[in-house]
Amino acid sequence: MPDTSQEAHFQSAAQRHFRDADFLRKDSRLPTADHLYGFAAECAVKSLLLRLTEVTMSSSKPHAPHPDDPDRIIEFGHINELIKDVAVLARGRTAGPLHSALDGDLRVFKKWHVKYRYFDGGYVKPEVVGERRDAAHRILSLHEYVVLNGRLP
Amino acid sequence: MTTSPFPVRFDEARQRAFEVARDVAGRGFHVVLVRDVLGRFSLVVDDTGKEGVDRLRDAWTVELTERLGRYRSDQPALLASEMFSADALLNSPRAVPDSGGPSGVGSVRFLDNTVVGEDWAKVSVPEPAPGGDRPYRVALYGFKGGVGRTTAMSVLARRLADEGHCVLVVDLDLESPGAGPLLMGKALPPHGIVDQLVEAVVGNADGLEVVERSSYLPQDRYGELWVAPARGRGSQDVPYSYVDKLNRVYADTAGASFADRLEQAVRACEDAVERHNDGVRRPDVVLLDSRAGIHDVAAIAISRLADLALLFGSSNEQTWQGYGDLFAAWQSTGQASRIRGKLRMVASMVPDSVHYPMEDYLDAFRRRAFECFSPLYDDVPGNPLGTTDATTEPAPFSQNVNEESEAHWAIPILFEPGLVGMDAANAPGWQDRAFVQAAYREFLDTVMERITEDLRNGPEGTS
Repeated sequence: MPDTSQEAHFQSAAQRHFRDADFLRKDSRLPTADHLYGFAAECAVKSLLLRLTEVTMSSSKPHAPHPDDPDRIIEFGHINELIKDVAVLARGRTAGPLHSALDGDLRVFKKWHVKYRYFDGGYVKPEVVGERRDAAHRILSLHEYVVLNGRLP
Repeated sequence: MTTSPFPVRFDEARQRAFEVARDVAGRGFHVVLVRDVLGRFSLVVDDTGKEGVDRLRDAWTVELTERLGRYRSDQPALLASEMFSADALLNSPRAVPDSGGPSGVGSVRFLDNTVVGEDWAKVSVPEPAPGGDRPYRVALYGFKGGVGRTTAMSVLARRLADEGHCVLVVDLDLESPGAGPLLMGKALPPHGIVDQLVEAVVGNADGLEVVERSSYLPQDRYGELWVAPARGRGSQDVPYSYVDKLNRVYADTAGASFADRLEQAVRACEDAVERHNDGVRRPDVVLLDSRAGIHDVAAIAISRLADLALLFGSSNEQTWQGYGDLFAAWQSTGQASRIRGKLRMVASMVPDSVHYPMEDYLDAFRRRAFECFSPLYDDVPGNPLGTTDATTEPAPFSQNVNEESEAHWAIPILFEPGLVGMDAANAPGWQDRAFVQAAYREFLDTVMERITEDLRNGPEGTS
């Protein structure tokens, strides 16, 4: 019986985007590879948030009540936005250590942006794509560990 | 295969998962069976160098799904070639070999995840201090409370000091401190173990005063008796928020688990004694008063910190069931051969009357203890579950109920009604009373003999 929870969808999407990105990178098609590494990392992080924290799904995005303002909701968006949004959750038994585990790799995507898919691609540097590939791989490895063991390393 | 109309429960799932894992290993695969914190299983198969395994993976997924019910993970069968971190998992030092697995080409290793209590499954020799040597540590533990453990510890501490040892008592019964007041009355140091744990996390432990020397004058003038209480006396100016601190001590922090932090706290107490002695003398024996029950503090004290663990109990079904569960857990996680040499049973509150002689009670107690210890004695020599290097394993234990040196051969402490409900602070010299000395004589003589022998033979790293 397939698991059709949203975290399972994010998990599957993360793996698919990463492998497609690797396929493109090997063929030197770097702009779209870079785009997909960002989505792979984003999907893995969202799956982690749903599995380990108080984050739940709204109709379209993972969200959580803002810990310091009950009138506000945090909606989790693309990977470059997750850097600050995950930091807001950094407290308690699990979300705090999750933030510590992710923070360094999230920062690698600070200048990644979803709108770059509309650009001509000349902005892409191979070494930056390589760094983002490594960061995405670490995030997906962390995700894989959590899925198997039910907890952070 | 038909699906059972009855739900698969936790214990049953383990058996079934191992059956599938062993079947897969029997086909020549190395597999790691992973159980997550909720008890759900995944089977990770090393398919390196093999073709067409994805079809088998699909069949294993169906089988695990059918057989494990709610205790299968989202992806119950995984191939290493399709994973992102397969090497880390396949080579995890936490995974223990399955002694019931196939003896051919394939193998099964088990990687278990729990929320608390993992230190029960990590038996080790205490680490030497940075200077090279370390004290000999004895943990005093009772599965049930109220069996005279802390009183026995205080009697043992004085006897050790009487024989010239520098003794440190560390109260690890954080939820119900007792050793400090019992040995020191109100003359406690300003700080306790909880202060050490809380302040060290924020790098603020320098200058804490966590140990105090007892005013007791040992018979041997070289003897010293020091106490590190769980709770300090605090200061007059600031309220002492024991509960607020206690509620924070069990945190795992970045780079240090609670077990690491507790070990560092004990070592900090040992260092404090050395500082008080102008750097010329460390404690040579440390008594750890562990809290009761199957609790993380007990797990760490027995499995990791202690050279010798004295297991207190009176003969009743709940005690034997509790120790039986504990021993079964050590056996199933492959720790039997490592832990049994550390253990020694203590029969507390032993009756001795004309109608019920001590010898009859002890004979029945030791036979029951032998049954209880049998999972630890029955380990397969040379190939225990969890053994990563069979050549380093100690020789198998003999399995003789009458063997007086083995763990089940309980050391008696006689029941003494005069000690029940005693307020030690208002009963000066209670330990010198003849009836107290009679009650503890065999306990003290036997434990002293064991400690003296171990110190002479030098457990790894001791001073």
